[in-house]
Amino acid sequence: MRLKSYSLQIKKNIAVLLHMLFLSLAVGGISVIYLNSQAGSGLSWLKQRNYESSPQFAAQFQQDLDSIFAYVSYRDVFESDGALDLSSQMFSVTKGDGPEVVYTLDEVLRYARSQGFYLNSDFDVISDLLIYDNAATSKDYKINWRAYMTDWQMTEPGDAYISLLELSREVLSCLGAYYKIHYRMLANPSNFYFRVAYDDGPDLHLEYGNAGQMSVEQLMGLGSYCYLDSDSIFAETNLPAPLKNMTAAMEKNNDYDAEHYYMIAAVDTSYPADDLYADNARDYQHLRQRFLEGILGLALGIAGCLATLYYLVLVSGYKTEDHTSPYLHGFDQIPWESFMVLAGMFTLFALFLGDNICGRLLHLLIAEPSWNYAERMMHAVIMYGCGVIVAFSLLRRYKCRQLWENSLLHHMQLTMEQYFSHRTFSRRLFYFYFSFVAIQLFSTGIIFIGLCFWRYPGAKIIVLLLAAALLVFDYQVFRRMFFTSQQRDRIVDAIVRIASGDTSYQMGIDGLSGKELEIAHMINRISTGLEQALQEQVKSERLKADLITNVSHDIKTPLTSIINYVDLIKREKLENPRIQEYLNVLDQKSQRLKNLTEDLLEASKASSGVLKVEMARLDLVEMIWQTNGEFEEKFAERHLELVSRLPERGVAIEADGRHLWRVLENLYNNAFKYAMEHSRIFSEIGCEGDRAYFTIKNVSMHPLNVGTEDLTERFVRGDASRSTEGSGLGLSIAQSLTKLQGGTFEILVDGDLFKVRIGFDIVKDNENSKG
Amino acid sequence: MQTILVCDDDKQIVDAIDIYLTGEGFRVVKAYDGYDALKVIEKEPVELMILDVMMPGLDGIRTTLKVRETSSIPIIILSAKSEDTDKILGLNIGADDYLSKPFSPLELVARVKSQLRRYTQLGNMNQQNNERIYKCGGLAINDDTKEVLVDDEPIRLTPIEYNILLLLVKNAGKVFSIDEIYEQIWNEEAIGADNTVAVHIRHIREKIEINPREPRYLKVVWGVGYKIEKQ
Repeated sequence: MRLKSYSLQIKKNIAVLLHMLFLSLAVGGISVIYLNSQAGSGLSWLKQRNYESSPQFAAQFQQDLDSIFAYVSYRDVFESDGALDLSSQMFSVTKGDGPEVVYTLDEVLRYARSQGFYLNSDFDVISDLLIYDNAATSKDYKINWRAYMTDWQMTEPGDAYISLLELSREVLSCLGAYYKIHYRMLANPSNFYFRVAYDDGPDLHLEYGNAGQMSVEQLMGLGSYCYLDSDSIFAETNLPAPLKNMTAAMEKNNDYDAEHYYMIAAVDTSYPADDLYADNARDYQHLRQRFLEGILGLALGIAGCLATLYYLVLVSGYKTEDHTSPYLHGFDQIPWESFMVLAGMFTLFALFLGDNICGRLLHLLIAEPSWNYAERMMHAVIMYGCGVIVAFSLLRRYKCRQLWENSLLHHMQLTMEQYFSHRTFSRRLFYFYFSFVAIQLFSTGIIFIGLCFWRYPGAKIIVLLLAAALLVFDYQVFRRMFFTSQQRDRIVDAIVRIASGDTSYQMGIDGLSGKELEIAHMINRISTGLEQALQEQVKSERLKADLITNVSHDIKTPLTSIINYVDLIKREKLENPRIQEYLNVLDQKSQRLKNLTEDLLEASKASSGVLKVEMARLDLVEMIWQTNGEFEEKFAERHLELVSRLPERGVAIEADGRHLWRVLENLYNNAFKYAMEHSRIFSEIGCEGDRAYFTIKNVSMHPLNVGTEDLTERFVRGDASRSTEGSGLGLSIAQSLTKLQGGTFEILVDGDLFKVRIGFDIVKDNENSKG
Repeated sequence: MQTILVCDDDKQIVDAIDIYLTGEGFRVVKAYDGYDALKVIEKEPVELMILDVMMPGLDGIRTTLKVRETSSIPIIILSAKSEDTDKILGLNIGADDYLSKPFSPLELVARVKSQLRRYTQLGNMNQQNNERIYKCGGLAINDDTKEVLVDDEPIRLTPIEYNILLLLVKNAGKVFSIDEIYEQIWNEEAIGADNTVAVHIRHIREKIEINPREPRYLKVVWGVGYKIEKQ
């Protein structure tokens, strides 16, 4: 496990290193491409495999073509018999009324030297002097003719006057133009061959060029060429770009109005001579090579960068190979909004450091023209690095599910919820409503203003964006209100259930939030409390019942012995009548004790509700007849007359027959015990609406000096003296059992009239009626 | 002489029962817990057992289960518990009768005799099928001789009581309402019932039941009618 995590960390480090390597490769590639002097031709360079097919070659060719005609124009001026002739006449001028003076080339050159003009190695005119004397620059010479400008014509009167300095500079520049070609192509070996020929038969044959005896076809075979003759308007060429000015230049230099002429220019593309073309071709190949290397480096660098980046995206945030436990670095704990701001500041600081340290180092290492580029590249690299760090931090947060959890927005939302969940509903509504209206009004206002400026595209964008935002906002508000209402519905539902008696109900709190969640918690607490209280009550009742049950059981066993042995003594046929009397008391009291324990047990069971109730449909009238049958003879013992007023048809009720029998038995026994002798006992059944009532009435033997409420209390008897037989539990048991079966139990005392009324719901579907 | 095993952890109760049963001519073997009782049963023939439920060691319920593995002698359970569930449990696991403490000694003796008669005379019950005899547990009615026997003891009934009992025994398990009984016995329509039938039923119950408050044969279905429990 440890080894595994270790190896992942190493892999990550390797990936980072590789990424940096590929990044520098890409940067290097970009630099090579960008710093190439040919930068700007783009990928079309890939198609121009060699110098001849490049626009640079075409431009050079064009330039040389133009120069050819300068040579053609000036050759005859400066040359005689194939060599430079210093004695050739350049121009003639007249100073004031003075004689016409003709200057030779030699004189002109000398004058130019005296005035600080000369030709440099590139055959351009250079001047050493900055200030010329007035004599040299004053235009007091009138030109008569100029050998190098035969077709010159005055356009203004002043044109004819010129300074000697000016003239000598003209000569010098013409000489330079002539000599440039002469030097490059005639005096030295050249790859550029040309021939300009005007040919009108034997009387006119002029030929210029360095092609020697090579035929036109031979020249064309050298490589790149351009051919034009007097019979065609367009030049014949294998150059990529069409050549300009050729026809015009040919015609211009056709001094003798030759009918037939042709010109050919060609470059030997094997570049045997070491000239400008050869140099350019070499450079071109070199640069192109570098360019290709740059592109290759760039492509490789980008591919490598993407691959390593992809790998890092996959493994970032994990410590182990199985990618199960995402983790965060220290700085990932900062909320991302703050982190972004910090990262921005850090980037600025890094850029500042980069400018001040790396920038200066780069200045030391890199040539000045590339400084600007190098600085821009450095900035890009720094920003890329910071961006990658930020992106990976965000990625780790995302993997840890912390992007939203640990954001300022989320904290703010929580704080708001916290704040509002402790406010009253009215205040919440107040804030909510007014912010809603404010946002609504504000946005509508902005949209309206935007509509007024509809023709501006900016306004259109703002209006559309705002309208969309407003729609989303309204939808969100609705959604929120809807969900809140739903949550409240659930709360109401829970309250209804608890109120209707389901005290153990715990409402689900999933999907609840804010104040509703708090309310739900409180409701659950209430129901838990209620349930606990109820459970405790039931528990204590049961404990009480258990206690009574156990005590009763413990009493019963010795009681059995008492009863048995009293009986055994009785059988011993003792003569002494007093002992007989005592035995009778013992017998009576032990029987009483037995009844008492049984009643006690029953009362505790009935009131604690542990008794099982088996509800069945039964006929109350039949029930009373049966009970009457059980008691008639008993009542006769005390000369009590039982008067029954029962309906002829049955009255069906839902009750547990055995329990109802116990109720009736207790009531009849009660009447039997406490009714005045020779009185009547009334048992009646009456129906009121959908309820059947059974009433038993008797006249009490003793004054009833106890309240009706107390009569059903355990151990309370109508006669406070407790002189009569009875446990005092009869009515209590009867009441508990009646309630257990869903009936009502009322005691009415009117003077000595004692009346008990029990009521049950009549079952409508009267199947058990008589018949 | 029939042997009865009495088992209760309360010595005085055992002694009292011993006195009563010996007085009735039974031989009594005493035991004071479940293990004692099982040992006695292994050693000597016992015709009937009286067992207390709550005893130290092996209690009455588990003792009953053990005994039932090997023997089918009548078992009467004594208990201080009087809840229905206890009775049902006791009867379901194989006890034949159930008596709650404190019990009357006479009732105990009557139940012992009843159980013994049923146990010992079970075999020759089926021989008298040429006569019109209706039987239900220990209750037998010979319609030819108009004799009613409860556990072989003749019972004296009035003609109306006899007719009501015959009706119920013939249709053992069926519940008759007061009106139905009235119409069947008196052969006239019941116009508004009264307690005549109920009083007769009560009389019959007092004659045929050992404990009329907890009838074995003639049961009251409260609010519905009366029936003879099918056995």
